[in-house]
Amino acid sequence: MNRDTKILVCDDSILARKSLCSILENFGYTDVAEVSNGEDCVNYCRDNRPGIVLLDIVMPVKDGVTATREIMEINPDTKIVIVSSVGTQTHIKEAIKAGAKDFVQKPIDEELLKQILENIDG
Amino acid sequence: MDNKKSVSKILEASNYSQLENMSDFVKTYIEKLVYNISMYVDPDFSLGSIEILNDFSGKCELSQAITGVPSAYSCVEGRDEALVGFAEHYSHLGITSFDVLAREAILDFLNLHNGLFVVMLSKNNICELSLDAPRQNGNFSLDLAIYKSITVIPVMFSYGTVKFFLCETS
Repeated sequence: MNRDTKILVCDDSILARKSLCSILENFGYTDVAEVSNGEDCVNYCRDNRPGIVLLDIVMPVKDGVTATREIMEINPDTKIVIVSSVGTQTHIKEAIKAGAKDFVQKPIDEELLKQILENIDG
Repeated sequence: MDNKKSVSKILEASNYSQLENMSDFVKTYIEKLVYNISMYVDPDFSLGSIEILNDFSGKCELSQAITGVPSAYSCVEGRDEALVGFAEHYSHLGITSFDVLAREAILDFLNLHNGLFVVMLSKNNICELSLDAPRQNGNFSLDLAIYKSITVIPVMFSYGTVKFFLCETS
C-alpha cells in the first residue's frame, strides 16, 4: 500500500466517517479527508483529485452510485471503493457498473478493507 | 450462549409467536432487529409487547424509509435516557446526553440494521429493496391513513425502553 495516497471518506454518518478515518490512520494513511454527501464528494474530487475514495451509497443530496459516475467522468483514475450497509447484488452491480473497484459491506471488516486497499493501491 | 440461541430465547419470551395478522415481512424485520441489537448494541435486553397500532405520536423522529416493493417506513422513539444508553452501547463514544452525536449513533444503527435486513431479503431471493438516507425530524405522527400497518417493537434495556416502529406502506 502506498500510505501517501490521498484518500477521501464520504459518508453521511459521523460515526462511519470517524470509524473509517481511524481505521485508515491505523493502516498508516496520513492524507485522509472526509465529506458527508455525494455532492461534496464530487466537488472535492474535482478540486483535489484523491487517489482513493471510500464512498457510502445511501446519502442525502447525491447517492454514492451517482457520485461514482460523476467522479469517473472527472478523473477515471480515481479508485472508488463502496462501503455501505446495503450490499445487495443489485447495489453492488450498479456500483461496479458506475466505475467502483470494490464493495465493502458494513459493519466494516478491517482485514477485508486492508486487502482491498492493498490490491488497488499496490 | 451464541447469538442465535440468545435471539430465539428473547423472541420466545415475548409475544412474537402469538402475533396474528402480521406479515412475514414484519416478522422477518423483528427477527433481524433482535439479532442486530444483540450483535451490535447490547445483548442484555428483552422485548416488550409487540403491538399493531392504529396511530402513534412522538416528539423526536429518527427514521429511514425502505424503498421498493414492499416498501416501509422505520423509525425509533423513546425517552432521552433510553436513547442515550442505546446510542452509547452502540457507539462507545462516551455519549451522556441526547445530543447530535446520540441521534447520529441511533440513525447509524438504524441504517446498519435496515441495510442488513435488505441484504438478507436479497440473498434469500425474496425481494430487492433499497434505502433512503436516514432522517431526523421533530414531532411526528404515524397513522393508518398513510400506512397499511404500524407495528411497534419495544426493546427493554436496563436504561429504558427504545421503541422501534415499522410501518408498511405498500
